[in-house]
Amino acid sequence: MMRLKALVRVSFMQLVSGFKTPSARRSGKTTSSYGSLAFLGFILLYISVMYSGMFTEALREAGRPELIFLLMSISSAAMLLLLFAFSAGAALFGGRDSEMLLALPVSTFEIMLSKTLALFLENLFACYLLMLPATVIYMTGAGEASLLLLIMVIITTPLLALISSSLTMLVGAAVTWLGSKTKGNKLAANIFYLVFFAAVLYFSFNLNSLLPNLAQQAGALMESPPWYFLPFVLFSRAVFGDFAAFGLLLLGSLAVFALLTCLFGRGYKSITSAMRSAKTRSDFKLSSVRSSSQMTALIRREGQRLYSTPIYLFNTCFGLLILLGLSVYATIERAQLAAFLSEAFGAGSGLSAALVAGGVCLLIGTVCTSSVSLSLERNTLWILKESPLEAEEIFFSKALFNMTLCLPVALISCLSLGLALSLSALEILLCFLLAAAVNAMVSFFGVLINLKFPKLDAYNDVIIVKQSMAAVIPIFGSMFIIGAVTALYLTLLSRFLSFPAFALLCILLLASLSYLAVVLLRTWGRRVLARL
Amino acid sequence: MLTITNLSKTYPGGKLAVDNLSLEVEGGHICGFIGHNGAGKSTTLKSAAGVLSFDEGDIVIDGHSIRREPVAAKRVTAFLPDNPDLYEFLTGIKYLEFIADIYELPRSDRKPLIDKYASAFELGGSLGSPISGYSHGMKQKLALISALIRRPKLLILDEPFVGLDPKASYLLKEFLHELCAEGGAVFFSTHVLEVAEKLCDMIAIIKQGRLIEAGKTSDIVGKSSLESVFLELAEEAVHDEA
Repeated sequence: MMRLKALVRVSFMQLVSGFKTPSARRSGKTTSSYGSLAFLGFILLYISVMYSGMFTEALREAGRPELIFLLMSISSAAMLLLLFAFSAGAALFGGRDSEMLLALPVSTFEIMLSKTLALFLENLFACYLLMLPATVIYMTGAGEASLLLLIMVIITTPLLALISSSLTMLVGAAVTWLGSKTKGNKLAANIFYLVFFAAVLYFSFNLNSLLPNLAQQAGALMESPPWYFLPFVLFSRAVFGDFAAFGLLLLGSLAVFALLTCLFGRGYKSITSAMRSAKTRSDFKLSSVRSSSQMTALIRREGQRLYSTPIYLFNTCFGLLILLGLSVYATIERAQLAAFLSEAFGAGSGLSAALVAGGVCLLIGTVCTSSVSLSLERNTLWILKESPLEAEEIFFSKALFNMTLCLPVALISCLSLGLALSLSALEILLCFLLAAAVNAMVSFFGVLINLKFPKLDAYNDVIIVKQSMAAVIPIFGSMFIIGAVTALYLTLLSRFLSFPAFALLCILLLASLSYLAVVLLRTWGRRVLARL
Repeated sequence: MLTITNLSKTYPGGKLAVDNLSLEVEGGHICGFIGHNGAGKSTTLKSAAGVLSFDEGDIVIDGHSIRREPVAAKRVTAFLPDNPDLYEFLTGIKYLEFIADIYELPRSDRKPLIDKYASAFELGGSLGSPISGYSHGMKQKLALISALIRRPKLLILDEPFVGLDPKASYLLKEFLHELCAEGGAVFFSTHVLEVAEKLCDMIAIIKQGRLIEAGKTSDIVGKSSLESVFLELAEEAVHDEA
């Protein structure tokens, strides 16, 4: 038991260490700052309140508010799958400690159990943040405050966490298995990730269309659930005191969790061996050697890293994929899009241009490869530091790469959305210039943020890309700021400022901020890089 | 070629890694840097390569200060850490192309140089494979090739012989001699005292961040072995501190 406890502690610390700031790690104190973990917790709380409020409203109108627990449990599992699936695979099989663990006098079952329990604890934390606000909203909204209900939610939520952990383990294992089979074939891995994200996007976009018939559909699920929804139906019955449902859920969730742990434990050695082995050919013939400038070589290297790390590619370029999807939609369904915006915001008045600009800028603002690029150097940072390069050349290559990714997509989106909504050439141009200014600012500030929160000791890329402060801050920060500014213009400023005037002001401000970022990189950034 | 003057480096937490170290390595010479684990060898080498910042002193390479003219100093230097981590997402040849671009090697020189060193180290056939599939020894060889193709004036190596097979070790020694014959200098650390004794023109011994001996190998070793000299000096340093 002591061995297992030690292993679980190490596994959990590995998972959570992704959230620590550099100063917290250097201090060596056991109690350290978990800024990004708290931030993630805040995001989960926000999502919980938003979705529970939306569902409760719709269900109450249909007289079935109690179905909130069914819907929130399904939503929670889906959300946690999206959040943790890829890191689960890395946590289970991808750590650099696999050889050391296999050399210890512990069984592979104990190794796997420690990792799955750590994942369970992570899911448990998230499940409580998602379910407790939903419970409070139900109790206040439906007027059924009940201590028994609260207690049942508290003791049943761990079972929900077992289900979501099992799901993330399955997907994570599938991703890892695919990765080991397609090691030399990044295209196959990238296509798999693309399909997964497309499925997530499809579900998210269709969620809104489910709302009007939510109570009916949820009610149907409760009456005759398909087997894959059964755990969630049992959960929603258990919280209302159905002890038979609780018992079934307890047995079922424990059994699945235990079964997966056993299976993965048995395969741990072979899977980690397959991941470490790679085919090295010996028939290469040197024909010619390519030549390019230093900056081109640096930017090309950024691209090669992005393409070869699917989690990096899809996590940082999510906004670009959505933008491209929107562009295609706008081209095909222009009449429908125009009608929707006209109905929602009124025809003419320049608001269409502001909406296009706001939407494109919001999505472009979430794309920040430069905010994790330095962290991804990890143990190879010495190569750049010993090279005859100025610090700003290194920084600019990272920022310029982000811009190289985003600007073509921004142009395509502004053109397609602008044409779909019959914007003038000037308005389309201003939308693009705004997006370019946002992109420049985000790219340069991304490097600054990464210098402030470098994560050179992460045990795999997934931690850096999904859980580090440097990854989280630009995404949510830019969404918040751009969303707020767009809303401010649409609701208030549009009465005083035309869109062209507002766009020009914003472009000037963003250009100034970009310049400030460049100055900081040349001064403060250079000093920080020297110390890394 | 390399002049280290009053180098001091203290890590956060108060550990004094290098204490007022001064050392000179002239062109055409190979200097072996030896010391026990944690003595400050890697810190000194990394400071010289510009990979690590230091608190006091200066390091001048071919007339360029690593502090004031870091780019010029690094242009003539090649550094290899112990256990070098390379870009796993690149193939061997792409990594060499990247290094050649960064160091602005003339286009016409690239293929012959890569051919020469890749053939010598028997790595040519594997250059098309991802580095993620290389063994430790292959990575070490690739890193050495990437250092040698730059034709540096100063080669700084941290434990270069670890992980190399006997033939590769022999070839590396040959290439080091070749570099020195062309006026370059080599500054490397090693735990293998026999190699240092046979290969190096000069030896520098460091203990707890301080240089306790430096000079020509023949003068330091005399009639005994480097091993006994090293152990004796280390013992004396302990007594002096006590």
